[in-house]
Amino acid sequence: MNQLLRGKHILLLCLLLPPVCLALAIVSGSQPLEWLFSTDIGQTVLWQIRLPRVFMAFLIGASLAGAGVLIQGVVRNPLADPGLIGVSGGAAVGAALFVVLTAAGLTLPFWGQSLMAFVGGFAALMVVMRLGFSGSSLQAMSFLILAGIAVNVMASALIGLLSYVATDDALRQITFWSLGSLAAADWHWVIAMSLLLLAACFYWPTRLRALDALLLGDVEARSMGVSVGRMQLIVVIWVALLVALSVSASGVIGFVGLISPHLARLLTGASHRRVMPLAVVLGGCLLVAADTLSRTLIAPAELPIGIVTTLLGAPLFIALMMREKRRLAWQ
Amino acid sequence: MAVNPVIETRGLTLQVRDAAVVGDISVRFQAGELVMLVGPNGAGKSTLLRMLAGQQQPSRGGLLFAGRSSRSMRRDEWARHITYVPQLSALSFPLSVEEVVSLGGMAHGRSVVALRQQVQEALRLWEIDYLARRDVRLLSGGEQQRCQLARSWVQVQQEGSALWLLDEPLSALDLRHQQQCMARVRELTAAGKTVVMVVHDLNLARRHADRVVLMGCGRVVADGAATEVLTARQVADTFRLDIELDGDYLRWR
Repeated sequence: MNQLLRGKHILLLCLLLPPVCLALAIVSGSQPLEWLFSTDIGQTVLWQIRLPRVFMAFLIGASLAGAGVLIQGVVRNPLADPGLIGVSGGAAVGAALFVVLTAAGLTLPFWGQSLMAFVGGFAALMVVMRLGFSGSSLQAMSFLILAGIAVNVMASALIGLLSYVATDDALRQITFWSLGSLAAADWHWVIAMSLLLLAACFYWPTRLRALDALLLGDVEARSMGVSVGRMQLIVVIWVALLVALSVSASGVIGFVGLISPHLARLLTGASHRRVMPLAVVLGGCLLVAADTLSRTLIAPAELPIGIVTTLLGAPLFIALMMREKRRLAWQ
Repeated sequence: MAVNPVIETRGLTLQVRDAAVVGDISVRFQAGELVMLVGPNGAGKSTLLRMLAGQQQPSRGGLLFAGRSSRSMRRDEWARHITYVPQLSALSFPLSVEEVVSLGGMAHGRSVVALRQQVQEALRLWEIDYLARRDVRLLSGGEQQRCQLARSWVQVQQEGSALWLLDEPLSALDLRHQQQCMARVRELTAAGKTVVMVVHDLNLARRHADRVVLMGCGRVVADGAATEVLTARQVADTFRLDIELDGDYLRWR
């Protein structure tokens, strides 16, 4: 059994890793530290750009990892990821539609974008779940992934269509969404994402055991008193919320939601009471690290973070698939 | 035996398109009774068990649980009274044996800590204590079966749990663990709980069951004491097989 980390160690790691990781990210940059802390412009950069950006990277990574844990548990498929199964794509369509509509002169409230991203992500998830639900059987797994591909293709076609009718300015914004970037970070987003994650911290801890029960199967979970249909709907809503807010803040950032739960499970087994906190913290730290790379590798220019996570994540995903394949072959 | 049945079905019918999977089943199960459901493949045994467990809504007819219609029962209430063990299904996540068994306390809201002793006892009784930390997916079929049985055993031990529904619990078990499973079942019936199980071994049913319900083609063919229900004639007709009774032992010719 892979349980390198048990309760106490996880608590320790969850408390120690984020501050270290955040601190390292805050001091990393193209300018020396004295500039950052002792000049006026350095102070402005620190407070208005660097800090919100690093915090937001953490919050988005944490949200995506949390969404990944939830969706993987409820479809009983360790290969599910908000990006792969089309939720992020659906949310991006919603966000892009908002951009095009406002560019066309419609006045919409600022939260309209997150709302439309939520609607898009929710709709995509409902389609995918209907097709790919239930069972760890290979058939259900391939259905889930195929449905995800279909939804993703549809989403990119819709984004293509929107780009075609978009004005130049709107086009730039849409491109920004489909590649993912944390350049738009500010304290408003940090507060919004913190509030959502705080709500999740109150909501989920008592329900993690029901997710464990779901891992055994729908029938088994029901026999243990879990209202499976209701639980699935709750998870879909939470995943759509987490992904929608992340996407409207930073665009589509792939693979964090897939890799973090996997890492957590490698370290501590599958029980959600340990996997959830660990995956959330790891996801946050991973995205902080990826963002630090994206803004320092080719400084003063920066890589879109979606490209960095995908470049790192896709090979890891292939490695995970190969591991899974070996396991199934052994069985 | 108690007069009021623990659970009672009235004209239970499940129709899928035009075909009746099970039709018009009315049976009663008393407290402290061990009832075995037997019958050929596709006779509707598992479907009946699923309906008793509230996992499958009947198209017609209903269930009375302790004299009360099951329609008003919520999912968690159902799980507190009735413990159902479906046939084995595969896992794709690395839960440990101990974690799976601990889930047996979930329906009754027992925390992992409060349950520790009972979980340890379950691990010991089902002889999976040496596997406690092991990844469930890497166990053999019989070991996985024992793990699921241990989990449901924890659930059925809890206060208020009255009925244990087992779908082919013995199918993957070796002789030693079949015997032990039956011993656990008997402890529970002695404590006044009702056990309904699907089995395929007719001689085992003849030897152990208080009552046997023989099903064929979605209907109850016979319901009563094992030796009255499992006669050579009745078994031969239901299973379409040439059967003789050799002493107390059913064998095919």
